[in-house]
Amino acid sequence: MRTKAWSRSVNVALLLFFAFCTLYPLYFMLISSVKTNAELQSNFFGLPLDPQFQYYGSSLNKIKTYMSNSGVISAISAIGVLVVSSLSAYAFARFRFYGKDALFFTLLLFLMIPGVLTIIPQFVLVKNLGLINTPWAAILPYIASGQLVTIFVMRTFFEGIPKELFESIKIDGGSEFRCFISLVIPFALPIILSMGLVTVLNTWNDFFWPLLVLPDQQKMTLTVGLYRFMDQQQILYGQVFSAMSLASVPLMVLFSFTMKFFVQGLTSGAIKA
Amino acid sequence: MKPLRLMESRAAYLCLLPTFLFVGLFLVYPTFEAIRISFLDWNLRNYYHPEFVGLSNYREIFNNDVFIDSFRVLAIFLGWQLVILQGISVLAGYLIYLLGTSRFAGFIKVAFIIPMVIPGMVSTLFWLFFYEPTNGMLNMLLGQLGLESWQKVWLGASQTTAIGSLLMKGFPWISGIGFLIYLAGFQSLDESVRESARMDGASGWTVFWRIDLPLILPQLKLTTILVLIGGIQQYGDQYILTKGGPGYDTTVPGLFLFNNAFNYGKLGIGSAAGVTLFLIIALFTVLNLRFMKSRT
Repeated sequence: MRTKAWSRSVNVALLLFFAFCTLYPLYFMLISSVKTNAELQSNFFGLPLDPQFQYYGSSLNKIKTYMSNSGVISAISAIGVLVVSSLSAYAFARFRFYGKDALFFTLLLFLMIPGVLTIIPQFVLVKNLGLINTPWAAILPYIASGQLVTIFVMRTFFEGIPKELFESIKIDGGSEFRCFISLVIPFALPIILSMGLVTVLNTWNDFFWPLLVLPDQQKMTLTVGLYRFMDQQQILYGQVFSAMSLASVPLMVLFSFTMKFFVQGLTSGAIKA
Repeated sequence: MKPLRLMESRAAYLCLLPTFLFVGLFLVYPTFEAIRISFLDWNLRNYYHPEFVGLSNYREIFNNDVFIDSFRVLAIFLGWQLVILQGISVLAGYLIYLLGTSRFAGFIKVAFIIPMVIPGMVSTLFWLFFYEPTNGMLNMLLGQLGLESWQKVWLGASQTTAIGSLLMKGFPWISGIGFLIYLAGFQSLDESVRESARMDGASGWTVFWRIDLPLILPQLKLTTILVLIGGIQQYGDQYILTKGGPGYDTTVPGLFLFNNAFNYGKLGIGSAAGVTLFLIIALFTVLNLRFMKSRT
């Protein structure tokens, strides 16, 4: 019994240590976001003695354009992914048609095309289409690559919907479209939500693609904007840290309301795909 | 019956049309283009008149020490990710699982999930600051401990410190979906199996190696191949923290590709590197499928 108590306290101590190391950077970012450069040097680890809250105002001013750019791109990409992939997933789950298995297998193959292979020609393509410095330069490729996993997850989910429910709608004279709108969508809402959140997270965090296709100050996304912030010659640390803190807020808020769906989406995507 | 079937097919194709349009334009066409460009001498000077040069780009990169060495650097990062990062995720998942459903376990779970919703750029920039030579946290900490002689330009002093710093970035590396997947795996085991093993006198260690670990083998296999495929293409940390330096000491193949294509404007060379990486990834995928099949 004594060894059990001992191993439990080692367990708890280890987890506490990991949790501390995980959360400390966030704490440090917050306390440093209101320190001047001089205070950061003299009072590095301590709480701010003379908090400079105005850093938040000035950094918000600088990153609000980036934030709304990222918001537009992530939102449209997520909606696009959901519309396109729910249609395909519905077709694969419900219809019998020629070449069904072959087409599904082809999609599986497409999933294996890696980003490093396509980044150069995709850039040339987007440039030739005249999309550089427009949100579509990011949104269209995001939809193209984000839909595949979503189709697989949704297909499995759609197939689990009892056949009798479809038949009862058909008997009442409902069309296939009716089935899709009033049965499948409400039924699959949790999985739709969670796949949407995964898309938001991926697109919000992407760095290299927006770095390439949205170089204009006014069109830049948040990740690129933050990177440029840290890249300057004279760094005002308080301002950088307050910008980093602000950049974390939108997703924090979004995910604190939807954590359950999000975790479910991530794990089901990884296990089923 | 037959016309109905035809109608159904037509509806299905209509539903699939957007997917295949997107895939065709943004994935399939670029794939063929990548192969074509890899045979071209195409750079900023002759942007409007690229020239077909056969395999010359491939010859050039395979004779390029930076490209060859980048695979050695990559091997270090991949090995680290597969062993240490995976190991820590399994460990974290297991430790939380052992706690059962207490409030403390709930708190720890949340603590590990929060970093997942922090933009990756924010945490990467934090680590850039951590290693920063004059105001950075690591040197500051060493200074306060009286260890000034240990202070270094961590990301630029030598290949050893630069790679070491990149490897330690993100410690304790639990902010992934990994530990959630493993936790779910551990939780799926019937408690009575573990109990009866205990009754037979098995130690906690034996239970872990003989019962719990084999249980998550499917998840472990899946994450291993995902880490491999993702890791081969990864170059974000190197780009942001060290820019591949000092010299080319932390340059990985993906960064070689990116720099050649988008900083030096050598699209042909970059594409040749891209096709090479693609072939390596494809090889791993095929081997993995074979391996999984032969085991089941």
